[in-house]
Amino acid sequence: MTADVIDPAAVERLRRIGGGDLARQMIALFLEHGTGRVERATAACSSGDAAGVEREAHGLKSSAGNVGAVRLQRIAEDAESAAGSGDLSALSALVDGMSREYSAAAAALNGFLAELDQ
Amino acid sequence: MNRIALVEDNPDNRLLVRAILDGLFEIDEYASGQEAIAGIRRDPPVLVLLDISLPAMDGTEVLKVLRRDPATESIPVIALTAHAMAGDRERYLGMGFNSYVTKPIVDEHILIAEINRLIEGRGAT
Repeated sequence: MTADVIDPAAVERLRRIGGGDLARQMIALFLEHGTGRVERATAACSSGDAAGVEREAHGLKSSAGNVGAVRLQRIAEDAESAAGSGDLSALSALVDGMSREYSAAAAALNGFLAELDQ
Repeated sequence: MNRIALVEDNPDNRLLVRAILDGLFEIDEYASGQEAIAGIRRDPPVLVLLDISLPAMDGTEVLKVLRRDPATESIPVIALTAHAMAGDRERYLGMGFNSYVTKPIVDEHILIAEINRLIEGRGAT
């Protein structure tokens, strides 16, 4: 299950580049900023602010990619793309999905943090 | 050690690039386009890594300003961006970026090789 949500190779890449410290810091930054991004994307979607959704989804896509949150990365890319093309009909479901995938990624990454601390 | 500028608003991306380039280059970090233009003019680096999606003033605007100023016009600039749709590479190179590297950085060696290629091409040591 976790392997579907997080690509362990990405966490391993972070460890290779900067050791466990870098992996820990990258995951911590993802968690620190991710919640706000999802909340701002949800609020922007509710108010019909496609540019706001596009901006938050773009940031989330990039950060998700860094820590291997592959499902979140994909849906954030879809949300960014829909928001960019003004496809508001698809946006609400994508933002809901992004929120769910963020929660799943955050739970899985907290598991990685616990492993890295061992 | 050669000094490069990193213009990127996301702290996680700054941390990752700093870790990748640690020991290879000195890095001046900027979180916004305006800060970057001021800093690069004050103390020009040998190369700029420039994010496209910056708040207030995006990377393409920053590039235009750098290219208009004789003090910064010839500094190589790499677009570092999560915009990776078909045609993006050609679009950014057409705007005057010297190279284009996509985020997330899956292979750090590609970024290092591009930086070295452009610095060597410029004749820096």
